[in-house]
Amino acid sequence: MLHGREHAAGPARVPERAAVRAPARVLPLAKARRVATPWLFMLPALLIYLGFLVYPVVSSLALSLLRWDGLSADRAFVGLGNYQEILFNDPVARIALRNNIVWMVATVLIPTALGLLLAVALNQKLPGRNFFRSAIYAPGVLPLVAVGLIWSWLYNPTFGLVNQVLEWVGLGRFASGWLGSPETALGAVIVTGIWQRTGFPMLLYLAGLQAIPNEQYEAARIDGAGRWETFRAITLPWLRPMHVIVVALGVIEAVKVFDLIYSMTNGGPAWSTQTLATWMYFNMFQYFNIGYGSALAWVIAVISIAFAIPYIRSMVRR
Amino acid sequence: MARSLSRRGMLQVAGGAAGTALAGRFGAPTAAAQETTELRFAHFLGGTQGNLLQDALDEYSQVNPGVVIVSESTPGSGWVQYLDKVRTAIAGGAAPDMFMSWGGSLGEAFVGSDQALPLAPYYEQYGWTEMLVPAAMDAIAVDGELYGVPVALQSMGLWYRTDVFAANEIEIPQTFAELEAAATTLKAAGVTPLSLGGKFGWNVMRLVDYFLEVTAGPELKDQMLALEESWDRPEVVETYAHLKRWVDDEWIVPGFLAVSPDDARVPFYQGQAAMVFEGNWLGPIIIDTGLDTALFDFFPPPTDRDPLRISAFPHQILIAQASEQADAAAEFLNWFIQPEQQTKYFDVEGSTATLGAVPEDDAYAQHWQELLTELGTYPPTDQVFDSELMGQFFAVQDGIITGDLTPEEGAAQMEQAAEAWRQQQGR
Amino acid sequence: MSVTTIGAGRTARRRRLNGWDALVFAALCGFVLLWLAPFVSVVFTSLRSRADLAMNGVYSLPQGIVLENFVRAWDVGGFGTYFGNSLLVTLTKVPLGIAVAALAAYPLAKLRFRFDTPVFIFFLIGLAIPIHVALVPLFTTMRQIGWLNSLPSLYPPYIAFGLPFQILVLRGFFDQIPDEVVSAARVDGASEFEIFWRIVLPLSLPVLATLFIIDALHTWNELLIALVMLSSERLRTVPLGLLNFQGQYSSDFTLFNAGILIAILPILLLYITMQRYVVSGLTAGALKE
Repeated sequence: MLHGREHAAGPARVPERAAVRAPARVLPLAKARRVATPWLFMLPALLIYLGFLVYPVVSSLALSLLRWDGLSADRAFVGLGNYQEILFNDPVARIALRNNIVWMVATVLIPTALGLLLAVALNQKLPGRNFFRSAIYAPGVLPLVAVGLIWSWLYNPTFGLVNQVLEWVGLGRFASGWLGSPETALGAVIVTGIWQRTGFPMLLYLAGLQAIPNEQYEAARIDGAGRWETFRAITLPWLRPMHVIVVALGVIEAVKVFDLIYSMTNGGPAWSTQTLATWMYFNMFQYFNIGYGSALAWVIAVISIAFAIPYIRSMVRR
Repeated sequence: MARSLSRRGMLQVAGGAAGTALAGRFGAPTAAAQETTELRFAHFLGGTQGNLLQDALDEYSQVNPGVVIVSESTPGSGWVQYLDKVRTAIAGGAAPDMFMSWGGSLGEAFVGSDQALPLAPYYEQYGWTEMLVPAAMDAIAVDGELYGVPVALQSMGLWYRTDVFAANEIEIPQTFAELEAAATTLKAAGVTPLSLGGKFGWNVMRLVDYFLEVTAGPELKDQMLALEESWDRPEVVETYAHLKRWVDDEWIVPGFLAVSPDDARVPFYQGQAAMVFEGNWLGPIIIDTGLDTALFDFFPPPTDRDPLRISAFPHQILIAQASEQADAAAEFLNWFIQPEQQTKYFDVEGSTATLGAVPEDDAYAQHWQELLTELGTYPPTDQVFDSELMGQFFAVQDGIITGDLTPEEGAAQMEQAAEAWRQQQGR
Repeated sequence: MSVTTIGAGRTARRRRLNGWDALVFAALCGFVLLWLAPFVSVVFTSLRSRADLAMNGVYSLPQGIVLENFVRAWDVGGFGTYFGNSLLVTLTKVPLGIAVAALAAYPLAKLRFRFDTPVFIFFLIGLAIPIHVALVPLFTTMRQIGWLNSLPSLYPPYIAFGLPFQILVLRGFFDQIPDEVVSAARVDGASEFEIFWRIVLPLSLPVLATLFIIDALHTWNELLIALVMLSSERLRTVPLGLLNFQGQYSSDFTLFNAGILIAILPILLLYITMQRYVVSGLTAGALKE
């Protein structure tokens, strides 16, 4: 059992070992069983994953080498031409990449910090605790079309609540067409993003907090540690698996961000809020540049892998 | 203990739901009975319009037992999701028998890739040419060939508040100068002249199209849309200068760029804005919403050009090349575009491409019909330009409004985009 | 003297604690109020008439309460059917998907085998894939299988795209379960599946509940795949149904917002019921032993 890895090296050694250990017939069977067990566990997942994620995605890799409108017989093989175009020639892709980075910094830092804070606060025994938890999570359950509508109304320059409130509190001069100006549009969508995404890390952190043994806190209390020291020395380290998940997912989501931008600004004004994923969508489904859109999708995938996988690996290494 | 109980409980709930729903919903697509012809019809009508269309489809099945038309509707945010869905279906080898589309470039997307059936034989067989509004057929023709049957001819103009115009003693403008004078009067009276929603670009495009019709005139403008003439010219600069002035003078509701066209109507309904650039469809909406029709009317925007043209575009139904039931589909189309059906189901589209089918008791519709007979029409740019070039058009338009581009730069940038497109087409 | 000092110290500390709790409570109240404010337009709009909305705007108090919007959204909007479909898919697909993910996560966390890290990374890469790129190939596959335009066509892609996240979370959680617990069972002669089923899963209830909530939410709100796969009216899911209120030329916002409230109700209810398990504290004791 302990030397599993050595055993698995190859069948050539088996006779030798069999000579040492009897009975000879059982050992290969047990070994086969041991080798097969993990794969049997993973079989359903692997089948579905290969058939319905890997296969479609790999076929899109082939598409990314073409110039094609998706329907006609007129397909031209352009090699890496689409990638070249994205990296060196496409001003919108450059805006999009910049926006993705801004989005990433804001929507990873703020919802994670806020979610952690709220999770710790709501892990205590407080009156109305369940209500608070549900309320904070509530924006996250809204369907996309609803979020788009609610916030388009809030930001509306003529009847929106944001401008009205600014006027009530005497800050009317800051009233603005939030989503309609290139300076404020991305920031306005980010606020919505924070609103919608904070419940998720909170939920994960709440689950993570349950795994921290009470004795740890008691020991800290006996040592006379204050709130902050306890939080830093016990809560934060114990939440490590959750940090990994929250940050990695936040980063990946930020590279892929599509829904909110698409529904709130449609990438405008003047493409100032395009992200890689909205630009991919425009190309694939509005401009019918299937090849170019597929190439953009691969750029997105590679960037998020480059960002997230090393992080996940280093954090979960055993 | 509690654990396993709850898990079992959950499964029971799931099982119960599955049990009741399995029979109805879970199966593979219903296999048509042998003698039944099932026609799949993809369209983008939803809400009340969609329901009314369903009534028409049901009536057809009653009149023609054995024919079932299955409506596959993709309503919602404009044309993107619909086109997305239909194209995926066609590309994936499961094309609907019939599908709805617009005119010009949006319809051509299917024609160009040989997905739509040429309908000339059916036009001849059924004599459709004599029944339909010529302008509607022109609007869907691709290189003189008809691939669809027009079922609507939507026309646009400036809807205005009659009460606001009356209170400020404004007559319906007959010249561009009069329109601008009216705007000046309105602004001075504290009413924003025009409300637009810039979110998708096309609502603002209507105003740009109109300015271009004023500055360039019908002939030159048509050539420019065909990319036969340069866009880097004084007429385009003047068009963008108009747009910039209207924005800077706050003749358009401030901050309108990210507002959805739906929401842009709100200041108009509430009397804070005097006009919107909308089509004949607004009539039924005003009536449906329960607003006072006496407060709302429309006029063709004056262009000082001969002929005076208004913006108009068709809806058409195409038959898929891949359909094995093209004859049955054509039979249905023939039934649907007869004057009797078009009058009865007029509100499906709010306009018709069939001659003499406008309901007599619909004052708004009658008025639009008059305009269509008296005036010329021009297509909205987004139905002429390919969607990618249109993306550039919208971006330039946004740039002018935000002030990032001067009118001169805008004209130059449009020409640059047009030139890139010409080259790509030539390739 | 010393006694009084200690006593004074203790009451002082207790008072400070209560003060802190009260502060947290007050801050939370303010925060949640602000947090929920955006919902006001949904509630108001769902309760008023179309004319009222057009004339008086989104944020004014409704002129009269029109509960009929909910009835019409349910009947005319076809929400009854969509609701049933979404419920069916969510309640069957989510447990199935999580089961598949848990099975795969167990060996990745608790069995050492060749290629365990590469396999884990292979699953993780799925996180990075934007779903749009897979739509057309998925559609073609479904047509070949003959599942197009049926609810089962949603299951494989939903499960496949849910796996990376679920495996990541579950593997992390299984990893925290002490190896001694597992090896003790092995010594007792339990098979790996028994260990997984009888020991690991029960210990993981909070995280399973969390995943259940998250996945149910994704499934309930998923739009793109459903849009592409399903054509028939009677097969529509709730997000597709919501599109129905957006006409080509105008949207019926009163029905739309009523529809939104109907649509989020089950998920909120689910969250409130499952919350008990999320924070049940089961692991805290169990893991320590």
